[in-house]
Amino acid sequence: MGILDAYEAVGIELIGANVLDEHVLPRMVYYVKEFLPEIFSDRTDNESLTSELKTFLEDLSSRVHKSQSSGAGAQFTMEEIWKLRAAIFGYESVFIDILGDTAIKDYVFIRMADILASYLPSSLVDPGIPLNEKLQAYVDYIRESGFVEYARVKIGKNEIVVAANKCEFAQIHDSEAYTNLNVRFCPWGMIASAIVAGHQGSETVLKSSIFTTRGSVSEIEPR
Amino acid sequence: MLKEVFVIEEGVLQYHYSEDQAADDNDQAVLSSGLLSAIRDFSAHARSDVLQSFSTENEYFLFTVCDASRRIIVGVFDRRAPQQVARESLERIKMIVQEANLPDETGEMISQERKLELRTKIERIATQLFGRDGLVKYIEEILSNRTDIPLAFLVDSNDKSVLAHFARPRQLYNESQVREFLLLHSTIQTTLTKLGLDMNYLSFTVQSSDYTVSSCRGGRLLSVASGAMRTQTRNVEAASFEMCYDSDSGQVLNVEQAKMVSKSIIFENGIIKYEKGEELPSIARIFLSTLINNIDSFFKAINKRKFSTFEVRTGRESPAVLVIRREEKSTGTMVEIYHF
Repeated sequence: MGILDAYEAVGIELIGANVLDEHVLPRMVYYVKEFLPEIFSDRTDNESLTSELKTFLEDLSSRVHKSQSSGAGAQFTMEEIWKLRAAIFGYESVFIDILGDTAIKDYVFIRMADILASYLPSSLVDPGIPLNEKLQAYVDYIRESGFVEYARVKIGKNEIVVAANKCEFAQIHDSEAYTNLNVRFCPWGMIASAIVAGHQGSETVLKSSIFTTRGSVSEIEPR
Repeated sequence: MLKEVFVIEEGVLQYHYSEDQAADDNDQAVLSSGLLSAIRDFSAHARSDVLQSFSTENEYFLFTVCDASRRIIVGVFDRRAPQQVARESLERIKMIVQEANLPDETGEMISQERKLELRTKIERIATQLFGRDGLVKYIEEILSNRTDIPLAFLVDSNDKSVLAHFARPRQLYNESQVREFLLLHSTIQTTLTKLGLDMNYLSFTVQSSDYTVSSCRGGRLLSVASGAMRTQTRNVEAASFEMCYDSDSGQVLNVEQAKMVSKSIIFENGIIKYEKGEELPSIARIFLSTLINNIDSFFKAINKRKFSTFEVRTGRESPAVLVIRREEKSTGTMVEIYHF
């Protein structure tokens, strides 16, 4: 949800206040239909689907904020998480089509990392905890949560590599809609870059994400 | 809490403001009221250098005289309005009236446009000094249509409460930012005093290579606006001024127009090395070190970055700017004071 919020905020900053309605929602509908064909039937027109998707996102956001206020964790079904994952592609394709590579690498990734740092739990932003411990705690979390079966982090001199394998969402890497995108952002890599940005207090870029049929390898560059 | 304002010259009502706009326009009702007769009688006895007052059960009236003319300005306040704040508001309204060039008592009418302009200015003062209701809506209105200010908040300097906040996404805002800001606000005032400068600063900005945060003081209002990445400093400053109902953003004094009167370097171990101009007082290093720490904590709470430049503007009467700047290849932090 943080990734969606961050995408929307960056989209507004760079494209304008109506980025969601005018540009993103139509694309979201396309990706949700591609990745979850069983949810939407051919008889449903795009306008209804757009409205339904917008309501879904607003409802999801409301549930997350309520759960944050109460301190209880929000529960989502896999179908909801898939819809969200597909919805995120709406933003990615808008940024690629409208903004282009330079803006993505020189603004979007850096800004996303900075915004996502606000969503991290206190243990991942505590300046007293070394970066390698924070990143290890993060990969342990995504593994234990069941989103991936295997995850590791490697901290090099000038870059950090986060790898995830047997990811729940990896099956979309094979889809035509996904392979048509020429710049792709792995959410696991994006969250890791937020941890690095929050720790180091400097620009951090998700340099690249390489995708396989089962997972991804993301390179993060602190500047 | 400011209910009405009367501007009277030689017993003639020149201008009337009312919190209730409908009453504002109905001069006939005002002119015929016994209250105005009483006000006119009392104002005839107001002396030029003394602020007079009288009270009723629910209201109190303050009088002041415009310096160069024989105009009397009367403010009517709710009984609960703090007297000191009421006096400050009346002094500021006096300045507006003096600048407004109202027609003299020869009978010329004030245009509707001028009346509206005066009303807007008086409302601003009323909001800055007394208003609470409507602030949340006001902040939402001015910021939700902007794309370059994703985070902002407004604080009451009297009771340190948050009056309004805006964040896109919502998660960008948290209460620790307000705590860091209030700490910084207090440290700035203390440091300015120790440096012999006016502690009642007007505004400050903090910058890194990518981000700017600006804060403005307007009456009891303290605003903080944080720009999106690479937003121009003047746009962030303008937003923070607008949040405070302050129209002075166009008059932010540029350091390039000022004269540097002191330059020093402060190192991480607290040692100050004098470079040019006036030497800083020896106690300054303690407060400057603390100030630098507080600026860092505040800026990191907002933008997760270390700051590179801090500027605070102070002193309406004798303006000055304190600049704290980190040089990339230096182990020390530059401290410069400018006077205009």
